[in-house]
Amino acid sequence: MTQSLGILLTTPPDAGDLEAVIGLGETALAGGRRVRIFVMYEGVRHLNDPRFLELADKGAEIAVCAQNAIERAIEQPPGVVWGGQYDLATMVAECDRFLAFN
Amino acid sequence: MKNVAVVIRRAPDGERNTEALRMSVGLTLADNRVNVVFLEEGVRTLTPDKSSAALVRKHLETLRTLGHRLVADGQALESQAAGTEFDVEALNEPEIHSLLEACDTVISW
Repeated sequence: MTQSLGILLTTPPDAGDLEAVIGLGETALAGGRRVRIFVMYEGVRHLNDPRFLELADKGAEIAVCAQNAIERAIEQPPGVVWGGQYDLATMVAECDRFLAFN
Repeated sequence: MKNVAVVIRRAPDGERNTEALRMSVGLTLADNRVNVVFLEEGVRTLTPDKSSAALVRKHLETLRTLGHRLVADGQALESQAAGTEFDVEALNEPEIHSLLEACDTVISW
């Protein structure tokens, strides 16, 4: 059974967490793991960064708290799920490993 | 079922701590047992100003009604949020360590 890694990202771009998220995500994908990422609060601002969105192209599943994104006038990019807290709840419940960047 | 702790340890700053509480309520939508743990300056979330009081009350009452656990560091609670209106369980440091150690996932805000 495929192991899965869940990542929660709530910090804004200037917090400097994106590089760690990309590194962890790419490493996990290269190891054949399922990678699920949820962004909320200030973390939705990473949707404006092509480096973050490339993770979806590489196979990561990215879900967004649409409420937070809409509050910040951020539009839905292709390849991400425009979701809500239910997506995070199921990710936490189902993932083998879970990391939070808050 | 996952046993999840959401640790709120920073002083209220904008929407940060109310978002942590909204997330805590959201976690109950799946098979998670949620423990909200107020530590250090995070206990000040329990004495909210007028702008956030309704949100804090709504989230804490929802979690309590659903049978999830709300705890705080007793010492921090006494020194920084003694007048709180909310029903939270005061624990000492070893009890908090045991709670966190028993959780499958810890999400620290």
